[in-house]
Amino acid sequence: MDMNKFEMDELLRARMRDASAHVPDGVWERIAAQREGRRHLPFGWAGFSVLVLVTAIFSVWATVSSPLQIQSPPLHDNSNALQDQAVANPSAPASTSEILSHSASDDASIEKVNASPASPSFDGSNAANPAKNISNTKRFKETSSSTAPTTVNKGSQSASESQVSLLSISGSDQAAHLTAAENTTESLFTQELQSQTQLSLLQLKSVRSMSGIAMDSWSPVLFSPGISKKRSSPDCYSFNTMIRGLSMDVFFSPEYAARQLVYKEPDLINYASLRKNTESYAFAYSAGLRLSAHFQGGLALRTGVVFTDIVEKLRFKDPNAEVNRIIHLAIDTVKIGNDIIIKYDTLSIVEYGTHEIVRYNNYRFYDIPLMLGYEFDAGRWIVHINTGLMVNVATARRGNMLDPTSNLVSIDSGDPDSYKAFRSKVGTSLLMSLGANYALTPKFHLLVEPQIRLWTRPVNLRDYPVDQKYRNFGLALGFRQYF
Amino acid sequence: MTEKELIEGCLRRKTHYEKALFDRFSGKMMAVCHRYASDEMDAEDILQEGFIKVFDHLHSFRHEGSLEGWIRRIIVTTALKHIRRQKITQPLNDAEDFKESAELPDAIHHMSEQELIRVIGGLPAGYRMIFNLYVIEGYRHNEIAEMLNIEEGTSRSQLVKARKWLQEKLLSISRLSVL
Repeated sequence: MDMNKFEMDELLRARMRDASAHVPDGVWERIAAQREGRRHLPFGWAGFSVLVLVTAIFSVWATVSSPLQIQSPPLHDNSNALQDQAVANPSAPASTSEILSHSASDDASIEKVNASPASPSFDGSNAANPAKNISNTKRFKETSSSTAPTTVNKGSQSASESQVSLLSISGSDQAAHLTAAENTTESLFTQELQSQTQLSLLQLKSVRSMSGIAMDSWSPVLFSPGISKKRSSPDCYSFNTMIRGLSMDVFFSPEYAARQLVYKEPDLINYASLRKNTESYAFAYSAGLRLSAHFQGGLALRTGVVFTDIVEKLRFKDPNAEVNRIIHLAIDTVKIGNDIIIKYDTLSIVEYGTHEIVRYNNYRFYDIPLMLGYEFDAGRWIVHINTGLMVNVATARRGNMLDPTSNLVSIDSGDPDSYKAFRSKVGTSLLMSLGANYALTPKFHLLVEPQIRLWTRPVNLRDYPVDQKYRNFGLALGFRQYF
Repeated sequence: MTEKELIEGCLRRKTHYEKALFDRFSGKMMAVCHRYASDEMDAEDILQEGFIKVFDHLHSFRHEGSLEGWIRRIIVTTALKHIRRQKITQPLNDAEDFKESAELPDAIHHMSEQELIRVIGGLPAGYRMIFNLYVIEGYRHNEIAEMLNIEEGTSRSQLVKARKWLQEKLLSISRLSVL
């Protein structure tokens, strides 16, 4: 029969269109197993990603809207120097201005303070050189014209707010006074400068005392990211990246450890079921010590050591248990003199029956947390959101489980003959938490921190037929000590 | 269970809906896999990998064509990737000159679908891909060239050779059956 290629194609296409083939057993089970293993992961990664994103957004926001910042150490030193210099050498106003201009933050309001020249009572030189003062005034005016008017914020209790208020007072007053000075006679100008300098001296004393407070008793509740949205001048260096302080957390966290057993081959579903049926969650906890470095803007980096213990209960009824009993039977009694000698026969009896075994298995993890946190204060509370990794450095186990042949085996990490199913290190896990501190004293806080920990890798070895993974949900309770 | 219910159930990640979808289409898709795979194990692997992709990407099914056609395209794409991974493609530019026969192999009418699948599956890998894509799936040469990253002319020549190979094979089967 003749046919062209198109007819053959059509014929084959028609025959193949609805062709069906036998699907071997086990394909669906493999697909289901593979999907089951992947099913839970996206939730963890999605949650982790959201937390990282939120933390990053907070960080960026805090950095962009960083408050009017005065670092305690340089301000303290310079205000000391300034006051000493003012007292010892009242005729040295130029250097006073320089000291202030480098000690304070690079904000425009600081520049206003700097721009105020010396008091006429201080000097003869500057008073005799009004051109220089006017030049400073002009410079100030140019700067202040692009700056929003600041508000007086008297009566603020916190040191940082007080610092801001002081500078704000000086800025606004000087803006008014110096602008007026530029347009009035020299005598008026001199009076204004005198009052300015007196004000500045008062401020400097206050600033010094404030900075003393800040140095001596740094409190984490002193900052607020939203005080000012002024941008730093590129002319002055920034202290944004400097560490504001350190703290140490000590915590204990009761936890719920959700275990996931995923069989790798369909044939192993029975073994996975056997383990699920014989092992159950008993309790879990973690405890640790965490050091935090607190940065300007609310960021915190944390590390430390964390110990986690997951305890599971193994309850297994062995229907074919054998018990060896040694029985001593008295078979004869011999009396020799006053002594009685009893002769025994020893029998070994094997008893068969059902034996219920109950064990508590421990899975212990030693980890180093590497976390990024963002903190913000709310009165006596500090709320923080944290995310990061837990790097496992060691694991240990104790207990028993059933192996794939349903035999009870030891999983003790210290036992050389134990069943080799588990890793000595399980890599990294993801940790997310949302915590709150309550300030009992400025340096001592109570800590409450709900947290979720997701293991990215199973705790078992690769060739073990069932993947054993955990997700822990805990509530860390403890305290935080600031240094 | 309607197709829409199946899809919605799968999107809600209900295992029994996923199983129902697998049961409904796995037979036909296994036939597709056999046409591309070199052996039974490969066919199973392609089917498994393909259905996992189907479940993973079911949300992107737009109901514009049939679900079966959509699944078939995923299985075919998976098969091509699988073959590429195994690097079992034949050298495609063969200098041998094939002349197509106009003779109809009788066997094509008498053979069962399974036997035909087996014959097509017996084609050398390079021929097999192009023959399947062009003749059975209905792709054009330019599409095949793009999919396999080859010249369009190569696709044409490989198809001619595949047809020739297949005709000879079917003819030999026809002769054997007559004897």
